[in-house]
Amino acid sequence: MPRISRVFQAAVLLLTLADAATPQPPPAFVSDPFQQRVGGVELSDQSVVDGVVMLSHISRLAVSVEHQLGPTISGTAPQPKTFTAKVGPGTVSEVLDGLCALDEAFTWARNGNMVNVFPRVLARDPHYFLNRTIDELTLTDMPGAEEAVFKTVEQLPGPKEQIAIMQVGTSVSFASPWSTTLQGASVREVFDLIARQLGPTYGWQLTGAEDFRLIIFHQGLSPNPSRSDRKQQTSGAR
Amino acid sequence: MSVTNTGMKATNALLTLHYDNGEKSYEMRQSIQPGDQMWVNVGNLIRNHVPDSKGTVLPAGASSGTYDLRDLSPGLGSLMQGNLALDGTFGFNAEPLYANCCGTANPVWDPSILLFEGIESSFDSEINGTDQCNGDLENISPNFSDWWSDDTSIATVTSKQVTSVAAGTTTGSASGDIFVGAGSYCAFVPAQVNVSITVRPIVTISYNPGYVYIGQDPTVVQANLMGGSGTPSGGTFKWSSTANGVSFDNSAAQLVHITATTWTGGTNDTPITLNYTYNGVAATPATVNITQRIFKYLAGDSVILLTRYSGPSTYGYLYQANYNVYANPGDQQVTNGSGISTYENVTQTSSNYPSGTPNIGQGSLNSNSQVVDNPLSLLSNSPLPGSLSIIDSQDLGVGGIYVRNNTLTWTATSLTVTNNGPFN
Repeated sequence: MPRISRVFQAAVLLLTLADAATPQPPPAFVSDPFQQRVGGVELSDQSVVDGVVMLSHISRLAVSVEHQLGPTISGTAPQPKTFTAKVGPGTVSEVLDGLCALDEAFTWARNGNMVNVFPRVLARDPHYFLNRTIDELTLTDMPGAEEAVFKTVEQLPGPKEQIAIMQVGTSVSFASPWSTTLQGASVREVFDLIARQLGPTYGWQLTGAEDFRLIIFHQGLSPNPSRSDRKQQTSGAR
Repeated sequence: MSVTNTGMKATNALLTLHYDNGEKSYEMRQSIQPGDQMWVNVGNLIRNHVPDSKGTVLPAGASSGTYDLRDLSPGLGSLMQGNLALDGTFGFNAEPLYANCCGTANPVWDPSILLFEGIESSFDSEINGTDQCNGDLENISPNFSDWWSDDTSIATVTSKQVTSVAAGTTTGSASGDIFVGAGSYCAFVPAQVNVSITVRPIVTISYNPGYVYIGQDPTVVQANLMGGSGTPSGGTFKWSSTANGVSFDNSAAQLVHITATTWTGGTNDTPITLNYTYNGVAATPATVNITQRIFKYLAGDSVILLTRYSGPSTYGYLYQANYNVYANPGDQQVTNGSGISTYENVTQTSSNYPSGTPNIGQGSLNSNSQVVDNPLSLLSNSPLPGSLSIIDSQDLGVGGIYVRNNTLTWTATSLTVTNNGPFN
């Protein structure tokens, strides 16, 4: 199971210091939420991402998903495998391990109370956009997630990285302008912090295609119905 | 002949002589002070051709007949006849038509129970007795000289009227002398009559929009407000309904929030009753019939482009959509729904990007009771590709109830919102 990198731990420490002037609400748990025992999740012709979403509802953890991207936005996107299986019971960590063992295309990492799910093949790819780190990132008076995302990507070294943000209904404005300084944080970790700044349940999804990356922040996610149900919905009335 | 007023007040006597075998009559009216007498010499009336109030004159040949005496004043009557049988000494011989006296017994209050709805209202006091000659009810209130209430903080009682003062119960009383008997003997006897007085508090349903919305969402319940008022204040309230699925957050409160879970589909078919008790006396319950409304659909769509970004640092667009909310029955636009929760569930339906996990968003109706979908934005730090085509399915709900499905079509230049209903 992947663990938080030493760099990220340092980033969290810096963030804590930077946020000292802006008190955060106390955590809603008294023990490690990843060690709480759950009854497990049951997939019915659904993907492991759907299973992670179900688990987040049980454990009250935020979740961010990096989907497998196709090469171009005008092409067909890869679809995750679906399974009919029960994973668990066990601790949240054990169920997450079980899900990612079911579909080895995905792996997961913990970042505070956030579960990050992403393609296993990209987990250690230093060139993968979300694995890239910024030696020192400074965000000053950011009014919302859009500005913070663009400012983060702007500070990546080298050629400009494309990123787009799509939002439907869910406001991505911060309660108050946000400033922070991070050292050695990955883009993924920064996006997690931006989501946390929006609210404790917020997360994000990376989708689109390799030539047009799209990030969507959410208050929460809902698992897809089973694929067979989706086919029925597509062919019939709502 | 003579007639004596034996009562305490002046009275009016009507003496009627019937002659010609009862076919004709001659009337004499006279006011008689207490203790005074009315003297009549019929012979003189005949001889002197004295007309009565109707102009009738006793004929010279009249020598016999009958008579009756009536006390025209209200009450039991206080006339006592003397020398009742007239003889030929005065040229006219008469016998009484009726019994010599008619008492009025069995005094009762009319109405027999005094029930007031609220304070500062009055009933006219009246005590009736039964005429012992003909059985008629007669007002004998003047025979009662003392009137009182056991508790003047609840109601006051006078010979004129009974007036409510405060909610509660008490007894009203009157005492005096009533004239009882019939025939040759009548007499005054002391009497007291009592009446039960109840002054009810008043309750009204003072705040009633006429409808409640279906749903258990706390924001919906918060919007379903009704209120009552009781007079006098300080009593206890009790809300209730016989309708299925209707409950109150605090049925003993003056203001209540209502939860309705079983939609009837009808209009004004849900009874809401408010009971109120003050000082141990229950008010007549207030009941209204209200309508249960259910959020049904959105209409009046307004999708507007707020900002377009054309670089160099940001590209894309920002839209906002506003919708009016309608409820059934009757396609009623929701106008008092500020703060009621809204939700949306967005699922990607196109196949050219893999965001297959539905986003859940929550909000609330704005101050105009509209669903506001903001932001609807697609922003990029580089130009949007011309081939971009993203299609989402968006479900919208109000108060936990699904009200709309939209298709959102995103292209490089614009967002299109297509309404898939429901439409009514």
